[in-house]
Amino acid sequence: MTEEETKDAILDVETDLKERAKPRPGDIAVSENMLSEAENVIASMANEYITWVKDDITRLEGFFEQFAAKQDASSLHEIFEVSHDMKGQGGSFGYNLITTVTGSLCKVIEALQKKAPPYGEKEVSAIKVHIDAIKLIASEHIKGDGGDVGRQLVDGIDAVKKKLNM
Amino acid sequence: MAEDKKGVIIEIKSDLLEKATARPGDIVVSDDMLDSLEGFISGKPDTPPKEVKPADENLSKVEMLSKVKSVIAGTDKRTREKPTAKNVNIVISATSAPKTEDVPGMNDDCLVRAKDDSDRVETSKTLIKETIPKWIKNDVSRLDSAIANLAEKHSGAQLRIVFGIANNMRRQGEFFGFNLISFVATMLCHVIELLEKKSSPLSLDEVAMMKMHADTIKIVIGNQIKGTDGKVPVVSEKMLKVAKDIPANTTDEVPHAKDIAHMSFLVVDDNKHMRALVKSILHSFGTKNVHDAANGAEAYKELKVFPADVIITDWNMAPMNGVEFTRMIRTDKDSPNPFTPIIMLTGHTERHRIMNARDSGVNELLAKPISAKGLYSRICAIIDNPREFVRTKNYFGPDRRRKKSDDYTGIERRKTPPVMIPIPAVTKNNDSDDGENLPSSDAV
Repeated sequence: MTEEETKDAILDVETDLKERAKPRPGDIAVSENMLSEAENVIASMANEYITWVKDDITRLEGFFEQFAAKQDASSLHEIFEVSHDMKGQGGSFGYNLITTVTGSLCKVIEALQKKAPPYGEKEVSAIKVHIDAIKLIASEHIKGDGGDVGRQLVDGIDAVKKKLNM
Repeated sequence: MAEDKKGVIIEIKSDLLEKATARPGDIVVSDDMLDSLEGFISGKPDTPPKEVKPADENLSKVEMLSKVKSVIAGTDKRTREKPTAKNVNIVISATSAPKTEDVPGMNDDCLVRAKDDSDRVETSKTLIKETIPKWIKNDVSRLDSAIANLAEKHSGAQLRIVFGIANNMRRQGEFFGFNLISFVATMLCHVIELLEKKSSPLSLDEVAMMKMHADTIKIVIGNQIKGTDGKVPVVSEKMLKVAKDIPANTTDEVPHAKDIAHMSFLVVDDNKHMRALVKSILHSFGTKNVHDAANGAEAYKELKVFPADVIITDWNMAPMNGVEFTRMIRTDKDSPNPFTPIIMLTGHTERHRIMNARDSGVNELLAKPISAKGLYSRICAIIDNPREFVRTKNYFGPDRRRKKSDDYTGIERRKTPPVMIPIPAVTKNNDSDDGENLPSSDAV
């Protein structure tokens, strides 16, 4: 590599994307209707989502059992990974509460990961509370913010976290 | 029939004058009643009598009463003179009743009526006092919920509802002496009229702008700020304070229609359901050329045979995560195309993580959970705002300075002005192995 090629530089990169994305007669351009249609496609996947989220919950429960017994970092990490994935998906399919509760669970785990084990009974049960809430949301198909039930769930979880200073 | 069509002057007999003539025991509208009421409404009880203004859509109720009286009296509608109160066969002052002997024809009955008149003014004052908070509370809460509905689902009808409430407040605020409510509500009406000309859904900023107006009205009410003298700067300052809290996020604004059907995408995610979701969205946009991979390593291999126009990648993956994958695309000497636009989807929204992703060389970030509009807006950002690439010892990737400001007065960290090198467009089917477009291998 020559000296010229390693010098600090700003590269003005040409791209033909703008030209290619210009709608021409007869072409399909992304319209408002198309966007709404795309949102409908996502909404229609909500039933599939609720099926696969049950698999996620099963995995979550499995890792939790392992963690409750061994209090090991690896199962705690796995719980984080599953809940982090769930956090990123729920809202797309209208299950905003799953995103909220799993997001909260991620924060609880991050707080625990900063501490050395063994963890107290209350800290372990904080994870359990989250998993139970997720199970309830999925089994009852609670969409959106869940109204009063949703508010109670979120308030309950917040109260637990507050008690544990999380 | 021909007779019917002839131009004629039709005299309509009205019994209003007869009806408005006072009879013993009748309630009459006196000048003092009007003055007293107007003074109360404008917050200045001792306001001297005002001139009646010409016809205006912002007529106050008191002015309307005056108008009614002028119509009854048969005087010109456009008169600028204070109308003579009807039933003024005995003029009664609500605040200082004259002595009976001072006025010819005045007797004790008149004093009783004067007392009644005074009571009626007091009753009206109480009624208005009770009505203002109720009216304000109702309208503000209606405005709040209408804006919240609008944020959830944009529709022209919903926007009209917000306009209707604001327009109502515009008319009534001034009437009750809350001129600033009228001022802010008028501004909100103008904003809505502008937004109604748009065809695309409202952006978060636009909804926040409407909310800012509603919040300002709450401030005016909360502080009981009446009139306008000297108060506009206070309100403007508070509006600016509220405006600072508006998120500068315009992510969900839908840009102009684009044809992305002929573009190719590589979707990288370890979760098959997320891959399916992103692919479904892209297919909905008419795009057919979509490949996928379950992690960075797999995606890197795929890129060698599938030179995608855009890469959409997740962050959390193994064995190679999204950040590592992006760095490899940007800096590896075998990279098929170091300039490939990359959109990163991530559930990590903490600042340090965002900086980490940015420093790896991604073009755009999209927080999960994703929506079709959000993804489309990122694709459009890549198409509409292609960024120059920066090559330094420590970084290679799209220019991280998104905004270029001439007003910047801080320290210029780019001490040596970088050399501008034009790079021709990389065609989709070229063999990039010649390394011509590659950055320095020292770049990290």
